[in-house]
Amino acid sequence: MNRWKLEWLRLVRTKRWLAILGVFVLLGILAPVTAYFLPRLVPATTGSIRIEVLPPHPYDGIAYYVDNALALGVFVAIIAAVSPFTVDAHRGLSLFYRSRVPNAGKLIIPKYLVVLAATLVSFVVGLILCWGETSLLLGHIALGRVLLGSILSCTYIAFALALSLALSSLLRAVLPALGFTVAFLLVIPFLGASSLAARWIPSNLVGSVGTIAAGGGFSSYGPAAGMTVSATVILVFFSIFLVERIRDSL
Amino acid sequence: MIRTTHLIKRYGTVTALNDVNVAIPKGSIYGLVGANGAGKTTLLAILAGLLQATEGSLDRDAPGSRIGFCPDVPEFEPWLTPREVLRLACGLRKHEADEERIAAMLTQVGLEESMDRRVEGFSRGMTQRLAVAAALIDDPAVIILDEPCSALDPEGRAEILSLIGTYQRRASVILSSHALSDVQLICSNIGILQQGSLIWQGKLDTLLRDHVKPVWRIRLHGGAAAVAIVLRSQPWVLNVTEHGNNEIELEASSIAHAEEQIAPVLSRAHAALVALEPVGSDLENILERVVSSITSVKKKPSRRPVGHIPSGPASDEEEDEA
Repeated sequence: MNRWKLEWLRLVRTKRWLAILGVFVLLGILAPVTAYFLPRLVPATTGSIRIEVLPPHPYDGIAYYVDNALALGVFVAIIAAVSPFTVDAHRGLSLFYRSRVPNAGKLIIPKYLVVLAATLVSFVVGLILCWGETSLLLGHIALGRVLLGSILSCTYIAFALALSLALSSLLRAVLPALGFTVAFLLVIPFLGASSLAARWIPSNLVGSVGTIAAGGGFSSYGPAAGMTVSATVILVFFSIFLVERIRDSL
Repeated sequence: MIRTTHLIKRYGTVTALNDVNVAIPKGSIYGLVGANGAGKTTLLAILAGLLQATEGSLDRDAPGSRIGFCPDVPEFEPWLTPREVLRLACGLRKHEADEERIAAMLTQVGLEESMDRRVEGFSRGMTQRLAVAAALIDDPAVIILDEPCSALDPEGRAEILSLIGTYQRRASVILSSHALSDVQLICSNIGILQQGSLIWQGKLDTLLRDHVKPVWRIRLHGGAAAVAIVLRSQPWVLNVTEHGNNEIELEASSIAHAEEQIAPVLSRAHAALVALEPVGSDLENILERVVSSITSVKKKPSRRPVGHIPSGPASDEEEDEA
C-alpha cells in the first residue's frame, strides 16, 4: 500500500468523501431553486416594506451556487481535511509515519492533493447539477463557459485548503487550525477594501464563474489568480518545511 | 555498530541527555534501562533519527530506511486492518509487501485471528503487538523498541520477547524496558541511564558477575543450628546468620567457592534441604546497587565502581568481545 492509496482509503472509509460530495451536491440542487423562488419569497417575508426583486437570470443560479460552494462547501472540505493535515496531532501515528517516510513532502503532498481532488470533483459535480437545474428553471446557459469559469474557483479552493494545511502544520492541533483557517478566509475579503489590494486578493475569484459564464474575460481576474496560485504553492512548501523542521518535541 | 559520541540533548533549559556515549555492538540485543524521565525515549528517538541531538554525534552503520522503530505508545489509523498496516509499513519504504510474510508475522505476534479486523477496536496490548510486527516486517538491520511489552500480559511478554530474541545476530536490537526481568531474559548488553547520563554499559554477564554478592539463602526442614556450625568451620565462609530453625543466610568469600562447596558441605552435614537460592542476584537489586555505587562515587571521586564507563565510547576490547 502506498501513500496515495492510504489517503484514498482515509477518504472512503472515514466517509469524508460523502460529507464533501454531499454538501456540494446539495448546494448545486438548492442554488437554482433559490434563485427561481427568490422574487416570490422576498416580498412575502418583508411585511409592509415593498422590495422588488428582478426576475432571475440564468447566471444567478450559477452565481448562488458558486458563492455558497466557496463558503459553506469549502468550510466542510476544510473540516474533513484538517485532521489528516495535522500530522503531529497524534504522537504514535506521527512516529510511525516519520520513521518510515524519508521527508515531510512525501507525507504532506498526498494528503493535500487527495483532499483537493475530492473537493474539486465534488465542486464540479455540484456545478454541473446546478447548470442542469438552472437550464430547466431559469433558462439555457453554455456549459463550456461555466466550466471554463470554474477553473478560477478551483484555484481558490486549492488556496483555501493550502491555507488550512499550513495552519495545521504550524499549530499542530486540529481545532485551533480549523478556527484560524476559517478566520483567515473571512478576513481576506476585507483586504479588498484597500484599492491597492482589491485586484490581487484570492476572494476576488469567488464571483468569476458567473462573470465568465456571462461572456466576461479572464483578464480582470489575472492578478487575483496569479496571487492565489503563488500563495497556494508557497503555503504547501511552507507546510512541508514546518513538518520537516518540527521534530524536537516529538 | 551504533555509537554516539558526547551526545547532548536539551529541551530549552532542561537537559534530557548529558554527554551520552553509547556503543551498541552489531548483532547484539542492547537493553536500555533507567527510571522514568531518565532519557530512554529521547535517546531511542535520536538513535532512530527521529530527533536531532543538540550536541554530539551519532554513527550508525545502517541507513534510516533499514531501521524498525516501535514507539512506547503506538498508534495506527483506526480504519486500517493489521494486514493493511503491515502492507503500508512496507509500502512507505517502497518495499514489496509479501503477503505470506505479513500473515506469518501477524501470527507470530499473536494477531492471527484479528488480521482483517479494523484497528479501532484493539486493546493497548493488541496495538503494541501490531507495532512490534510493523517494526520487524521489512527485515530491518536496526530494531529500536521503546517499552515493547509494557501493555502485554505475561504470556504476551514471553511471546514477544521470544520473537525479539530471534533477531539476535540478524540485526542490532535496542530495547528499553522497565521490566528488568525482560532485559535479563534476552539482552546481551545493557546500558543504564540515570537522569540523562549513561552511568554504566557493557555486557549483561559482566554486570551480573561484578555486582552479584556471594550471598545464599538456605531453607531447611529444621536443624539450622547444626548445619550452621558445619558451615562456619569452612575456610571460604565469611559469615553465617541463622533465621530461626529453618533458614540460614550464608556469605562466601567468592561466588565460585560457594557454587562448588555449598552442596557437598550441606550433604556432609545431612541437611534436610528445602531450597537454596542466591540473594539479591536479580537485575533490580543489581541495578539498585550499581546506581547507589555510582552516586557514592560522584560524592567521593577517588573511588570508581567496576564496569563503570564514565565517558567516551566503549573500548575496542569490549566491541571485539561482543
